[in-house]
Amino acid sequence: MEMTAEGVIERIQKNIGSTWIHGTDICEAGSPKTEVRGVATSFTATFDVLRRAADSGHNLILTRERPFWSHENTAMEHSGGSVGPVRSELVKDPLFERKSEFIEKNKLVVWRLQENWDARAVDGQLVGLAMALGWEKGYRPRAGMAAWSRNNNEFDIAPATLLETVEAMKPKLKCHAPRVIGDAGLRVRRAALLHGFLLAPELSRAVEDPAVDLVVCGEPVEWEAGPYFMDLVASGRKIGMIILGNEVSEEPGSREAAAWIRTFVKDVPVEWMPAGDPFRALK
Amino acid sequence: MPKVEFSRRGFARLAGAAMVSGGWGFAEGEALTARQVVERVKRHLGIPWNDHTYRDVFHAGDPDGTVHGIASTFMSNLDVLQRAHAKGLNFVISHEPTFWSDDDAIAPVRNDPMFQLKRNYIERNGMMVFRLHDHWHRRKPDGIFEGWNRALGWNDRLVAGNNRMWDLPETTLGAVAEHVATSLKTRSVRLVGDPELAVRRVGRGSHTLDGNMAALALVDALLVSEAREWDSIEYVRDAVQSGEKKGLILISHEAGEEAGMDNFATWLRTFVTEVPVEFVPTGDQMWIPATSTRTG
Repeated sequence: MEMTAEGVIERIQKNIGSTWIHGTDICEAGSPKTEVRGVATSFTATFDVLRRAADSGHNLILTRERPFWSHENTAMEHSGGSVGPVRSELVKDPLFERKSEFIEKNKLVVWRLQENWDARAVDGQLVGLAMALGWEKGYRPRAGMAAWSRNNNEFDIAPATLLETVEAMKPKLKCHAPRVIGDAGLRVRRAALLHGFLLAPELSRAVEDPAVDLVVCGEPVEWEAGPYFMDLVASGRKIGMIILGNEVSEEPGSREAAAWIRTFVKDVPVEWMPAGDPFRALK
Repeated sequence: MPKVEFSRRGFARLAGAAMVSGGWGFAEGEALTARQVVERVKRHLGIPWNDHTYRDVFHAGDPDGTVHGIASTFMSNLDVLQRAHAKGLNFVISHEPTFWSDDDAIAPVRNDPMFQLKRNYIERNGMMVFRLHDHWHRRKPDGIFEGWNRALGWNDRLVAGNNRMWDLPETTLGAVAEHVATSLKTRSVRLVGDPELAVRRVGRGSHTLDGNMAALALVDALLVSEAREWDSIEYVRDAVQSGEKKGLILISHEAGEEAGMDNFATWLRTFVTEVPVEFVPTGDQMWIPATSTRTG
């Protein structure tokens, strides 16, 4: 039975478990009427992800971030969000042109799946990241909050130093250049696990429990969550922070999304295609 | 000499301070308030002051409090306030916010224990915090880049007519990154692209995607301090994956601007001579484990 890209999205809408938000989860490139031969999920549709998807016949790419980078607004400017060009400016960029040509030539469809995935009661990004770390058995849900909701994010982890803990995480997440704040020898055993962009209020909630001695996060804004954390340390709290990078912290959630979509899209293959850590460290 | 202005309130404080502050070693008429220091800064900047700025204002403490010493810093973190206080520097001039958002909004953090602790620390110790961001950038030359460029040691490599672009003797992306890490004393440098990439022209990018798109087109390698990973970083990665010979060196916000506030302290000393003026480094506290691979 033939299934179009918009047909896949309709199935996702039926299965999402909440009212669909008609916001930023839009068809970013390609035709919604395209017949789907396979589905790929990724943090972002990099050129390399698009090539792998085209080569393996996964012509619908569901992506958390935008293939043409820009969020095209200034709404979050004060909170560290980025100011990016609007589409009418972006189209003049040679890289935009090359990327859209590749998508068109290979009859790919790129559709964003972020805000509706995040609106589910269970935070698939948190589940995916915890599983990738092998932390799910140490999950310590707080009373009075839905299990696995975004801010219900504490874990007992194998007691170790901050340095040992970050070294153990790197291969599990394929993280090339994690940044750390705190003494390498600090012993940690209770982690708050956060993913993606991080501002001060969310960090503040994550450290409310005085037992938390480690924060693991994606991309803390360096004039918001970064200094808030440094102030916490200066106030005498014995706590460390491991900063994975946005992609590394969010990518396992794309694997979780693929596993979920497979439960109701069975006629075509659904694969996770990680974009990979964009960074490398110095020697 | 700048005209000394006294508000009624400031004069009352001055009279009070004179009775108890004999130990500070200056006479009655020389006591200096934080507001007066800021007025002097405004007069010396050489550009019109924007009275509508939400950034470059007092964010904590009493502007009419007496200044015993001035700390210039990148960001008024609690640990910076503690070090300034230990040195008797009770007026902190900070390039970046105090209460963790660009507009130092109090409403979202009013009940936050860290906010209360930090504000109490400032008030209990008679400290004042003023932010100097927009105007220090707007000065000609930009006070941040004047200091930062000097710290980077490439002033003789600047492309003519541009203070954000350099032509280097042919080198590699990795070697440039090493130079940046060493000169700026930072342990959190990250790269996008091949460390062996041949590099001649390096350009300073910005926090925003549009700035980085414009700059990348003109250079072999971009040098950026804090940019959003979902747009600027992915744009450069796509450029590299599409075959362009480009690279990016990403450094922390501190490393990217801190030297500009050392420069501010030097400049301020030329016209504030009654009290000590010191640069108190914020420092980049992030580090990357040494065994992290450069293969990616």
